[in-house]
Amino acid sequence: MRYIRRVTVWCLTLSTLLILVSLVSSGIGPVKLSSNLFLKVILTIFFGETNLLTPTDVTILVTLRLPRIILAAIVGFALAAAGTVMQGFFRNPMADPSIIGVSAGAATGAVAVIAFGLSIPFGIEIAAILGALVAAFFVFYVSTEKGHTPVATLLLAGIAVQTFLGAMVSLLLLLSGENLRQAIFWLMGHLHTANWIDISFTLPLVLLGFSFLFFFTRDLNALYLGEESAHSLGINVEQTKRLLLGVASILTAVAVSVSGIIGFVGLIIPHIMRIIVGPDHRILLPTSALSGAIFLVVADTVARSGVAEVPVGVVTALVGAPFFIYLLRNRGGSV
Amino acid sequence: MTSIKVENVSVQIDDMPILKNVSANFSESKFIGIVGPNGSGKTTLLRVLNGHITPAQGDVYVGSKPITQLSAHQISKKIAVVPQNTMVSFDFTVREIVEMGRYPHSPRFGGFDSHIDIVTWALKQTDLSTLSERTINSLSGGEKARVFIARTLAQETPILLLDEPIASLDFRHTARILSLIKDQVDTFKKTAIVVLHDLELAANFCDQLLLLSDGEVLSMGTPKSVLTRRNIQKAFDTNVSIDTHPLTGLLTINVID
Repeated sequence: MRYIRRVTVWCLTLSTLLILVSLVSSGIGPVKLSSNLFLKVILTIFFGETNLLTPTDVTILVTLRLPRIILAAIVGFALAAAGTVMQGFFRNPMADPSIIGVSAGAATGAVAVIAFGLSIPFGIEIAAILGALVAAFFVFYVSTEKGHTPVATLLLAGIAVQTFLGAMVSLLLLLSGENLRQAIFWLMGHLHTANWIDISFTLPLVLLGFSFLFFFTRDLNALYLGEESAHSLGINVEQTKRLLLGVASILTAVAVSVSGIIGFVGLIIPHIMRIIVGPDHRILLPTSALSGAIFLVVADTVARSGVAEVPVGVVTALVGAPFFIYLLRNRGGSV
Repeated sequence: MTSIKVENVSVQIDDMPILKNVSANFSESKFIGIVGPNGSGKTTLLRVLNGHITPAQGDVYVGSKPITQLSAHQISKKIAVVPQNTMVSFDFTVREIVEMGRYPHSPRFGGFDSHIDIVTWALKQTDLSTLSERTINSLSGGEKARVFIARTLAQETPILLLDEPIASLDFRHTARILSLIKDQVDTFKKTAIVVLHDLELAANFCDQLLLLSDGEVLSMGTPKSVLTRRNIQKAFDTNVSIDTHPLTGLLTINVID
C-alpha cells in the first residue's frame, strides 16, 4: 500500500491546491466583479440561487476567465508531464518537452499562418500541431538507423532542426508586415485567446496522452538506468522509446498549439518535484503534471493582472530562470 | 533450471567482426568465467546471451528455445544482468533500484508491495539492509556493485550475467562480491556467467572458464585446462609462469619478460 497511498495523498493535495488557486484566480482581473464572488458562485451552482450574480459577473467568468484558467491548467499539465518524460527518456535533467523540435515546428507552422494573414478557422492551431508533429517525426526519422534510435543522435538532430526552424521563423517574421505584433505575441506564449473550443479538443487529448504515459512510468524508471538495464528487466526498449517520445511530443504539440511557446514549465517543474518526491516516475509524473497546472494558472494570473497584458511565457521565464539558477546553486550541481 | 548455449554465433559491429563462429554450452548451476584480452568480444558475447544483440549468424538457446523467439519480458524472467556501466544520473534509493528487479514479476501498478519480502531478502543477502534508504549516488563503487547484484537476486532468475562486477574494486569488495556470486550458484543452483579480467581470481573462483581471443573461443573447460602457458601466450601475447601454491592449492600466474 506504500506506493498507492503516497500517490493518492500527493495527487489529492495537489488537486485541491489547483482548485483553490483557480478559484482565487477567477476573482482577479482588470474588471472588478461582485464581492464575495466565490460564495455567490457556489450558492448559484449548488443551491440554485439565481439572482446573486450580475450578468457582468457571469459573462466575464464564463467567456473570459474560466476558459483561460482551465486552458492554463491543461497546458501546464501537458508541458510538465511531457518534460518529466523527456528528462527521464534522455536521462538528462536539461531536457525539456520541445527538445526534439516540437516547439520550433509549431512556431514555424503558426507564424507562417499569421505572417501570410491566412484566416482559416483554427488555422493557427492546426498549423502549429502539424508543424510540431512533422518536426518531431523528422528528427526521429533521421536519428533512426536499422531500427535503433540512439538518444545522443536524437538530441543533436533536435538541436539542428530547432536551429533551422528558428531561422525559418525569423524569415517569416521579416515577411509578416503588419501581422508582426500578433506573430510575436504568439511566439512569446499567450493564453488571452483561450476559449471553450480550445478546451474541448485539448482536454481529451491531454488526458488520453497522460493516461498512456502513466501506464509506462515503470518503463521510464528502468530506462533511467540505461537501455541495457531496461532490456534485462523485460522492457522492449526501442518500441517503448518510440511510444514515449511520440506521446510526449503529441502532448507538447497540443499544448503549444493553443498557447504558443511557454518556456520553463516543462523544465523546472519536473526538477522541483524530483527534489520533493524523488525520481520514481510512478509518483513523479502525476505530481509534476498537477504542479505544472498550478504553476501556469498562477503565472497566467500574474500575466493578466497588471496594467497591461504580459505574455505568460515572459512571466514563466522571468520567474523560472532565477529560481532555476537558485536551485542549481543550492543543489551543488547535482540536480 | 534453464540451460543456455550459443551455436555458431557471429557478430559484426560496423563491419568489424567481433565474434567469429562462437559456440559454447554453459552448464547449469555453475560459476562460469569469461576471460580474454580487451577487445576479444567478452562484453559482446554477454550481450548476445541476454538477447540485447541479435547475432548476424547463429543462435542462442535458453532452455530449448531460441532467444529470438522470446520476448524481452520472457527473457527477463530467465536472465538477470549486471551491466558494466552502472552509472545512475538520478537519485534513486537503494531499495527503489532493487525493487526494479521485481518488474518482470509484477503488474504495472503498485505490484511491489507484495514483493517486500523478496526485496528485503535480496538486500540482506548483499549486506545492504542498513543502506536501503540511502541514495545510489551516495554509495561507494563496491556498494553500488552490490546494489545491482541485489537487483538480479530480486529478479529471481535461474541465470545471472555479470559484466566485470569487480572492475575497480578493492581487495575486500572483490572477495566479497565473488563469494556472493559463488554462494548464489552453490546454494540456489543458479548459473552465473561472469566477465572477469583478473585471471587468478577467475581461476580460483570459477567452476569453468571460457577463454576468448580475437572473437573466437580459444578454450573452454576447467580453469586448469584453460589457463595453460600456451593458451595465455596465444590470447594475451604474454609469457607467463603458472604455479599452484603448495599450501592453498590456488593458482598463481606471473608475467615473465
